[in-house]
Amino acid sequence: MFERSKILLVATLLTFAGLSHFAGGISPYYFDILIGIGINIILAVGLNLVNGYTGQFSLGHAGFMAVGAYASSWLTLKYGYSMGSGTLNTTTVFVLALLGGGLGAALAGLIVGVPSLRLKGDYLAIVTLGVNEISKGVLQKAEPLGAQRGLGGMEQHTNFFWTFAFAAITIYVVLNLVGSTYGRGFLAVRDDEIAAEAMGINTTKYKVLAFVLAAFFAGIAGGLYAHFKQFIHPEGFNFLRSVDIVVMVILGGMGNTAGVVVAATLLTILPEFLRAVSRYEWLPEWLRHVAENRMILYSLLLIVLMLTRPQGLFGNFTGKRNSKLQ
Amino acid sequence: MLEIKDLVVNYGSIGALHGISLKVEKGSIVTLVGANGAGKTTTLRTISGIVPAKSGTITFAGEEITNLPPHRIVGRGLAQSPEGRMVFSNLTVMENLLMGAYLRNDKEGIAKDLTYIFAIFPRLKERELQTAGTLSGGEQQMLAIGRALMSKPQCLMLDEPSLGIAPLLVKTIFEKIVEINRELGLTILLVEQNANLALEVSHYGYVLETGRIILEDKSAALRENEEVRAAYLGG
Ligand SMILES: Nc1ncnc2c1ncn2[C@@H]1O[C@H](COP(=O)(O)OP(=O)(O)O)[C@@H](O)[C@H]1O
Ligand SMILES: [Mg+2]
Repeated sequence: MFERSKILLVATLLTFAGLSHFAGGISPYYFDILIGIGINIILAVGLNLVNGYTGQFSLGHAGFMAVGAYASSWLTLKYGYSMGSGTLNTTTVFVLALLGGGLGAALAGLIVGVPSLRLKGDYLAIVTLGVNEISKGVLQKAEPLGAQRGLGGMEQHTNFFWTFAFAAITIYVVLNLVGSTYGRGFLAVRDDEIAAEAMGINTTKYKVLAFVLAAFFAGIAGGLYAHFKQFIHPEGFNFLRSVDIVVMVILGGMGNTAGVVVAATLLTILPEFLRAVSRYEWLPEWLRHVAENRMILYSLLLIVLMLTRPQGLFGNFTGKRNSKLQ
Repeated sequence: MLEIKDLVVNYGSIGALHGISLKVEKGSIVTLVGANGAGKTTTLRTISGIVPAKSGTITFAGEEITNLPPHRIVGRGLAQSPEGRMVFSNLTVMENLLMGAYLRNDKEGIAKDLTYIFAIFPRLKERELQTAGTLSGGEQQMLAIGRALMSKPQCLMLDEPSLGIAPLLVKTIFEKIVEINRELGLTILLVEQNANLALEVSHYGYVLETGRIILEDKSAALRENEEVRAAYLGG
């Protein structure tokens, strides 16, 4: 089973490599949405490891995205041009910078996660929310990173291939992790933390691991975002961005990776759709207003969902796990 | 095998255990009985390291384990089947049992213990691939006990195995507890509100009342004790 998933990953990567040749022909508007989908898949599938499989509640995922975006941009701005003609080509610098951004975010995740995940209860939501706002505040003051003006000048390295390659890798890592013998620990922590402790599972270790991994992927997503838009700004990684990602996880079904991928796709398209709707002048004023404010719509969506399908649109884990004694 | 001395546990500013002492001899079944809220669960959780002890000592197999992290304590051979069963409801019966063996690496030993557990609880074998959340209360209790056994403990702590289970199944489960003790020579600390049953299967008993041990004796003697009869055995 493990082998098959590896082959599947390689096949997917090759397909994306092939497809990326045609991606140039797409109009910039749709290309932008497409890349947005890939980035959101990375963010949501990663967060699902924390909020879904492990049953914690992180509410500051955009903060880790910011760390990755700024760290990788700083790296490519510093090393990208000088090494362009040297031993490393620019693509290599870009990928290394992405990984650097991911590691930076993972480190931030470790610093935030260790103290807050030792506690049981909803401290994580409060702490991550706070950290999200603090990191935004710090970036707004950080002169070398552009402060309030934002940071620009990065080359556009992010393309169809890299975006979806990292999305595929994220999905692969998460599915393999939770499907493994080791990964049952995540599900056990979510099902019953005290029972998990009583079984000798180091629940803090699992929670921190999930959190750090999710932060790593968020960092990668941030790097991809920065090298697509070529301009980043502290406000782009605010609390509302974090809520977007949380909504994708809840809508997709906590702990259902396939569902979260679908939800991330739908919710990336939705704002574009709403933007179109808000321009139809024949619609009643209030409806156009609601369409303009997607957070109102999200709130309604979540309330209806909680009342009618608390397991998410697509249900929580449907995947069969390997339950034989190996 | 397991000894507690002057254990004090507080939840915030509220005291739950006010200095209790008890002793569990190797190979015996010892019971801790008491009404709801007496502090039985707190005692077991503190032994397992899930709730911190304020003062006092817990010694297991000659070494102090007070306030060690829970996984260290399980690693030393002290397992618990928690109150309210607490099986992992989204995992299958088999996965739950394997979770119990989480700290072990000896595949052969694990397989052997699985066979043993399926032999004493054939119902679990029949429902091997069912998710635990779909089991009946009694079956979940069997699973919780089986899961605790999968860590190959030297001492097993059971928190109210009779709670919320059909009377017929309660009888079966208590017979199995005695069987496990006899066949494996496993030391058992049994916490129960159902004093009648607990004092019947155990060798020695402690009576806990609002965080204090008020009585201790051989179980047979406690069953005859007027005070105990009036308070816990319904006359
Ligand atoms: N997590 C907790 N926080 C605060 N108080 C608690 C907690 N758990 C138990 N208690 C209190 O401690 C006392 C003992 O509870 P417990 O150990 O569960 O008793 P028992 O298992 O004998 O029914 C009770 O008064 C209960 O309300
Ligand atoms: Mg209790």
